[in-house]
Amino acid sequence: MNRYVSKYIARFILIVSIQILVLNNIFFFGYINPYAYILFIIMLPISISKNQLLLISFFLGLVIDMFQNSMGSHAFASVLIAYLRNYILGALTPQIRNKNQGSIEYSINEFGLQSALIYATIMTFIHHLVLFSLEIFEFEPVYILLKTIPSSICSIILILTFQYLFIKNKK
Amino acid sequence: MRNLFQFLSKNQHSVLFIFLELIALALVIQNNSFHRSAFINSTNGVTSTVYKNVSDINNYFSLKETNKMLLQENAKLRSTITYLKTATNSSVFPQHFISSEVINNSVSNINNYITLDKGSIDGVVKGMGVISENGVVGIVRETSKNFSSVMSVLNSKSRISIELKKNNHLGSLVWDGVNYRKGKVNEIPIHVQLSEGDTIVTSGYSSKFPKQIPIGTISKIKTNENENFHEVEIIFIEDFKELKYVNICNSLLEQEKTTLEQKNNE
Repeated sequence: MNRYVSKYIARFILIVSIQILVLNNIFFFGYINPYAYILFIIMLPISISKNQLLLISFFLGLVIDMFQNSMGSHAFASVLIAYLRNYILGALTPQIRNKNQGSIEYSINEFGLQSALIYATIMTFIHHLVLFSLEIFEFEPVYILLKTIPSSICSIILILTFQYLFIKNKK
Repeated sequence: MRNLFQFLSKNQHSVLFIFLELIALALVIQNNSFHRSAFINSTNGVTSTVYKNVSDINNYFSLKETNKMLLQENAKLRSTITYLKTATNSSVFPQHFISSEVINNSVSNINNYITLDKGSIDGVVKGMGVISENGVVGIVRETSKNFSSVMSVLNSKSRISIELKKNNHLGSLVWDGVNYRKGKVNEIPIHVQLSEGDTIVTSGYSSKFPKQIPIGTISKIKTNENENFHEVEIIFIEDFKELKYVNICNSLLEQEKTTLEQKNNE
């Protein structure tokens, strides 16, 4: 157990630093800001308890918020996808309920590229949609989607790449 | 109560979820003045509608003030124009104008009078001419300290010296007491060629009004071979029913002219 905790703490620090130090400073084409830090939520073990998942996501979102000066909106979006994560996973692979033992993560090498891609896409899109809606805080669907879709695509590519890298290290 | 606790512990993570989301939302609104104001604004659609309507109404009030200011400016400009005209053409009397608001008006009587909110304290004197943006209105009959009563053009006793704009033939304007949009012009000799649409202006012979102030256009001409004058009907340019603001003409040389003419009669 301790081994897992330290591993996730290390991963937490790594992902948050990549997000804050690198990704937040890159604006692709001037306005695309990818938020790949939700990879941490995506890659938490499936067997983690729902309460823990929510609290960890809240904490992750808060940390990102502190550095982004966007108090609360990342926390809100992160907690939302953490809450929805179980339902999405349940819908994607019904047999997941049986795999409660150990620390299986939902990643490419466990479930294949296709379902990992679908999972990451749904999570990222919901997260970005909520995040940008909160930041704009006005009902302007076109503008929100214009920001959400390119950033989501960017984030998804990054998330899958990082997943691939993490798994490679693990092997 | 027990059921409630059971329900809560069963859906522990949903309760936690809602709790955390509320904290996050509170943080969003608390820590960002833009969000705070946007939140307050979006929730107070009613208030903003009310404020908008109030300011619209207020605009109407200030519209009145603006109108007044514009009219005062108009009066000033008018007197400047006549002053400048005098400088080049000595036949026009120097005039200056007192802008005034119509506070009582009638068009339905045979003898109509208009009350203005300027009186002797503002320099209004009996006998001054009153004009509006669209033409002649009448002649001041009585003044009090703060008000003055004007005999409207729409008055059976009113006689105003006019001329045809195109050839300066003189006539006099009267009103028959029927239609407030229509007047009659007498004393235009039968040999004068008239056509419908000709403009009637003030003659300037009575120094009450400046010269060439438009009054109306000819709408009907009746010529009887046995008479010496045309029977001419005109349509007033000014809609007297809608009269709001007028200018009182203060002819500076009126008195001098009158006294000079009185000497002739003696």
